[in-house]
Amino acid sequence: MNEKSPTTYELLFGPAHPGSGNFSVKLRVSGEQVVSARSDPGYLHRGFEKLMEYRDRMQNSILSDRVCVLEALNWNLVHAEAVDELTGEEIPDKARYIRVLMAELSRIQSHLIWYGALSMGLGFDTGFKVAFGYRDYLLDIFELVTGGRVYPAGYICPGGVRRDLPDSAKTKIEKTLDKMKIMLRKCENFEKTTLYPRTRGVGVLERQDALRLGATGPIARASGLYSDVRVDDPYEIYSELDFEIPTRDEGDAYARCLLGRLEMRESMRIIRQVLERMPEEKLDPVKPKIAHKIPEGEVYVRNEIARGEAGIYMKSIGEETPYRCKIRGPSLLHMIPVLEHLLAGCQIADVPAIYWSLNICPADMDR
Amino acid sequence: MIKTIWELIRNLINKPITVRFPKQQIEIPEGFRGEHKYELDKCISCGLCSRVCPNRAIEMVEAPQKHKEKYPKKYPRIDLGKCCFCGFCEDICPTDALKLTKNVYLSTFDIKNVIKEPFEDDVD
Amino acid sequence: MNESDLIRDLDKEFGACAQEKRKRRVWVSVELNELIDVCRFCYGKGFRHLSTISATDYPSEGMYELTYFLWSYEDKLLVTVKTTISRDKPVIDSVTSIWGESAQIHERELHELFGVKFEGNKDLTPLFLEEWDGPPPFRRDFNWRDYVREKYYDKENEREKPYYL
Repeated sequence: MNEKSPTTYELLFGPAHPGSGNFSVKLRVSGEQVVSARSDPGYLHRGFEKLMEYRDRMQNSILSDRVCVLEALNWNLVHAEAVDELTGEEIPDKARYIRVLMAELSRIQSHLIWYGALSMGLGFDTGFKVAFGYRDYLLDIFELVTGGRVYPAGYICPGGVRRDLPDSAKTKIEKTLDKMKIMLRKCENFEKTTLYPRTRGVGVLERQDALRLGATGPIARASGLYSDVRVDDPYEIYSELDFEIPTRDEGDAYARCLLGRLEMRESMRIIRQVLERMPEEKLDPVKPKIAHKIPEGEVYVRNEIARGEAGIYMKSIGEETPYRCKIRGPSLLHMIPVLEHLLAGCQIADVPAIYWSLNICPADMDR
Repeated sequence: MIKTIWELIRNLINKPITVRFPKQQIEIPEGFRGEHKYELDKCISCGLCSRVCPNRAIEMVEAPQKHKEKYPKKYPRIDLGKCCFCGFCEDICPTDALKLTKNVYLSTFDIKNVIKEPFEDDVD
Repeated sequence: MNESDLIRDLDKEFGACAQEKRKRRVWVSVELNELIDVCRFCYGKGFRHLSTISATDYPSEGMYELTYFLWSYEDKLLVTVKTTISRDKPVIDSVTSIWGESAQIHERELHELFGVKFEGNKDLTPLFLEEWDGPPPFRRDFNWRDYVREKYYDKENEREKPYYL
């Protein structure tokens, strides 16, 4: 089918579509078949890389929340690690545990949004409501620990964390994890009749394509590419923890959806281990400082966030502000080459299934 | 099928996740970052809060005429519309003159309420 | 292959001074004309994943520094290849022939934000900016405060003033 032939027409998916986020895909359609797709990003471009050159480290950790709203704590961690590696500061033991604890809670929360959004995209409202309802229990924990439901305001900041863990947090987290377990079982029951038939065999990403198009994280692992920064390039305390990295070989939308659920289970395992080993001592919170210089140097840190590989390249010339800060979000590659590749040749009805199964976040792509 | 019916019956008995908002509220924990509260007697007018603010929401202003004798220096004025409620001003304040409270009911129709003056009774 | 093997190989092939900054991080600076060869060599060594490409602007020295971050899934190593290009004529060969689509997107982004031209990259259409007529916005000498003040500052609005002090 020729792209410009008179029988094809253009269909816009987004940016004002309820299920697309601030992002648009231009589909060239012939009948019910998508001939080609072209991503059109840029609706959320805020220029964080440039903004960070004007702000000091604590103000930047506030900015790093906003890189991706759905997993603010993970982005906090990436930024904090970049600065920590430059300063070479020793992080207190307890702060490292709290960091991993919060990052994993944030990962579960982000996967719940993914699950909810995928269900919503497929018109399966029960799944959407269950996922978002249970996500609120996690937001209650964030509220207790960081002081804000969605934005932790740089809770994980260079030098440690901004507050000590409150005493009631441990029991609350354990209680919430028990609830999450029930929820996951519920999701499993739903899936066989609802998500499974709609996503099975849809949007298959082969292993070599995943490698070529630069897919990372759960998207790559659903295509049989075993890679996880937490294991391959361990940071914080991940090398001491015992957890598995689930992989699937099918590479279709269902495998990606299933992987999200399996990863939540692994994250829960990590959280229980972290809570068990959490040191008892009291932690000094990190307070913001004026005129706090970052030592000269350059680093590149990589983290595994819910959506894939996140990285920050930071160059400092010994001023308060970084000289250059490059943010690498996983969604940039998932939303442009991978999405365009998967959408070409599919049916219009499968577009939401493919689109949402990629676990995308327009915010961290545009930055 | 049996599973579905079982789920249905269980959901009939279970309490909903949500609460009926204006009548009921979920409890807001200690340490929540909500609206600010001044204690101007403690303020030493150092201006650190306005320097650390990432959004430049805090401006140091002079007290109005009738308070001038008691408060001769400059005091923070917060624009809540710009504020991101990060709590840096609270953390950096050397005398705890600025605190974040648990108040989250900040929506308003009047733009004057958005700007939080240090001397409230002076709005005339 | 571990860090020292890679450093030895890079030194032998290209005479480049590669150094190990910490575990799993190897940094190497190369000349512009060697870049494609080094990249191809690294790709052959198993660095299949191009993590990202970054550009840093040095207006006083009149150059851009381009940084390529390559990850090897087998050896769990990250090698950073750095090269410099002139700021007045920012042209560099594209690495799309090696890493394909994933490199293409990163280059497209840098072309838009820094004005670096990648020769051999077929599609360099802007990603983020719409109807932009100014200079590439992420250059160090582009002052966004001045730009915004000139274009969007509403002088009547008292609340906007602190932004432009």
